[in-house]
Amino acid sequence: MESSALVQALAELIGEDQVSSDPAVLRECSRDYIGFRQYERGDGKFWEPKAACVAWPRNSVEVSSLLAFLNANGADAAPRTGGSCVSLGSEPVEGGVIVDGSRMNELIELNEKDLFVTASCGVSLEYLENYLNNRGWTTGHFPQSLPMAQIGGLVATRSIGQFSTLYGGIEDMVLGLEAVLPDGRIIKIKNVPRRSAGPDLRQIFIGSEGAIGFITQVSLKIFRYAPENRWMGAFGIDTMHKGLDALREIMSAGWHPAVLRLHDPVEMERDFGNIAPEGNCILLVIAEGPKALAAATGEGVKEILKGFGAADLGARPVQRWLIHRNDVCGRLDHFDYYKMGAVADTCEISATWSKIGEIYDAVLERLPQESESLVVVSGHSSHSYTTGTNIYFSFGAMVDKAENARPIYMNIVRVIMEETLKRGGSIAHHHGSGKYRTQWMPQEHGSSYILLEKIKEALDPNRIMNKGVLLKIEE
Amino acid sequence: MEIYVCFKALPDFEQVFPDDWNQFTLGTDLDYAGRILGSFDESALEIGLRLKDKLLFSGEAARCTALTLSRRLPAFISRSLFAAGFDEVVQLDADVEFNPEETARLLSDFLKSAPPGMVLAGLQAGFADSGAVPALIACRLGLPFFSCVESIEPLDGMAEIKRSVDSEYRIVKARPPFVAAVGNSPVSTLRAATLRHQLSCGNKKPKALPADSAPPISALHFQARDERRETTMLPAESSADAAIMILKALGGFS
Repeated sequence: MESSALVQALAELIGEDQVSSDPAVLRECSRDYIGFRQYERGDGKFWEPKAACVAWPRNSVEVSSLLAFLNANGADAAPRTGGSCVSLGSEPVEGGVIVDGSRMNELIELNEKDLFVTASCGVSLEYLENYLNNRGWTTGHFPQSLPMAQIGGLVATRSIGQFSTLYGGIEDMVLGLEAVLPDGRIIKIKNVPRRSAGPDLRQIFIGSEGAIGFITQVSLKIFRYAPENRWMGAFGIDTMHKGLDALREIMSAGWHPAVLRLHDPVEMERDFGNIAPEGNCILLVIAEGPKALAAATGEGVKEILKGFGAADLGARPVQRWLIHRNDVCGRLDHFDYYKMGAVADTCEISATWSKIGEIYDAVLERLPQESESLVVVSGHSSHSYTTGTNIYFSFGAMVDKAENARPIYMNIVRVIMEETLKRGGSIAHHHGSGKYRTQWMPQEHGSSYILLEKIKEALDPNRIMNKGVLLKIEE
Repeated sequence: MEIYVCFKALPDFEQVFPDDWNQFTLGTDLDYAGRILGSFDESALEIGLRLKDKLLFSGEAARCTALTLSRRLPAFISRSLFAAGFDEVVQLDADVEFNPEETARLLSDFLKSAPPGMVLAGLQAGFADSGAVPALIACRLGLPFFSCVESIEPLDGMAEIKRSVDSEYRIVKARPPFVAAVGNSPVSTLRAATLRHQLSCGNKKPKALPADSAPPISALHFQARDERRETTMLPAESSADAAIMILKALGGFS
């Protein structure tokens, strides 16, 4: 379908005010914060695909009619909400339609008896969290994108928050949801505490990255909000391996601090003012919940860390982290790295305890050899489980011209992906596959990759939804 | 040509807790905030390295020394200076805060004993610093002084100095030695060295020299600005409605 006809048809469908093909608006709604795109924009280059238009449906019925129309006409749809994506996950397909749920921002219900809140996809997480906090509740979900992200995108990308060791990832928080399938059918998964009535259908949509439908409404669990009960402590620990062993010990002992972060010596020096003994890692702990439980958790963790020879650094490094942990959101597109002539970003992977340290070592050993212009590589573990943890790599490399930002960047990512896959880890811990990791998805899922293909085939047979995420595009 | 660049590793004030600002004294422990280079100093350091590069390229001898007065120079800052191209990092072992005369005395005592050359420094180390040190160093050394410098180019044994003064550029030519205070230069960041180059610098350490400083001064008071933010959902039906609500809230509509 020709672009102008498409725009016209969508305007007739949901209203002229709800559709725009203004190039500046399209650019704004196509923005992704992956490191090389930030570099390119710093250099005045806008190389993201250009959509025909952006459409802002106001409710599920409008999403339904939009998708049904696009499906019938074979037009590509790129769903988005808050726009904090860092993995090319919400960049449109050339000539496609950006379906932006950010105007669906109704907070539908706070159910304090059954302990859940229901919100439309475009509700800002920061707003929701403030709203709940003022009433003594919390979602327990604090991703770094909190000032930008909206509910639909958080669920679609299988997001995780900084307090995940206590509250879990978004997959543990979603009670029920509503979504629109590409053919326009609106489906609803009801709110129940648990059930044994077949597979958990919520999980088809959690992490679906807009590839099989558009999430329009979500019910999230809520928890008591009692920050005054927090127990906080920071510790210096000799090596990353010893730190990982300590995390394993804490998790296997059954403690569930909300925050458990182990930063390597590079990050300790750069991000924490070199406060631990030279060459040490820094481990941050926050325990929360009822006062007695938070205190017992904190003291229990401290006791374990003593056994690892950890140096007690007090609570101040944690307090500092707590205040400044999301500052990066305010610096996006300030082109700080571009001005230094560098492309920089993070890349998160996960693996079991027996493999995670090996992956960390292998990446740190290989990257300086295979990336000539690399200036820094570091890592931290920020989300731990009884079976393993994640490593959040940070990297920066010098770039001579914008054309080279992407290849230099992807060469670094390639090393991280290869070393992770080699050891059976997962290539994406919480940013989703997006479009930049899709090439590794067949190896990520192995023999189960076909399930992704079959789900796509069943729910989006015309393959209009967010082409390029999760599944490789067939030539 | 000897090039000296004076710099200061400052606490990262953006990381300081509001409570610490409100009861700030020289003894307040700000270690948790970490240390960074002041922005003018960072420009001066990079301009010094660019001068060295250009002199070496034209076949002249050039050597760059980074000079600081601090007991708290983080290892990652000295490592990054060596990796960026400084031949030497000199750390005068004293902590002098909010005392420009004393700072200038100690720095110029070192410079008097070193081979003469160009002395660069940031116009002001941190936002609460006086900005007087570079001029005081020039006075103590009896050297010409140029302030508000944006760039310095080598020019047949001389230097072409571009200054930004009273909204206009002034270009002067001077023969070293002199002292230059770097201001709002477009050269705003110190170059990042590749990891390979950082590794090739091995284990170079700053040259620590004793410095006898006067007792610190006290009686300083700061206050943090309240920068809390609140999120509010505008109950608007359209962007236009939202714009009107914002304008009204800002007092733009009566």
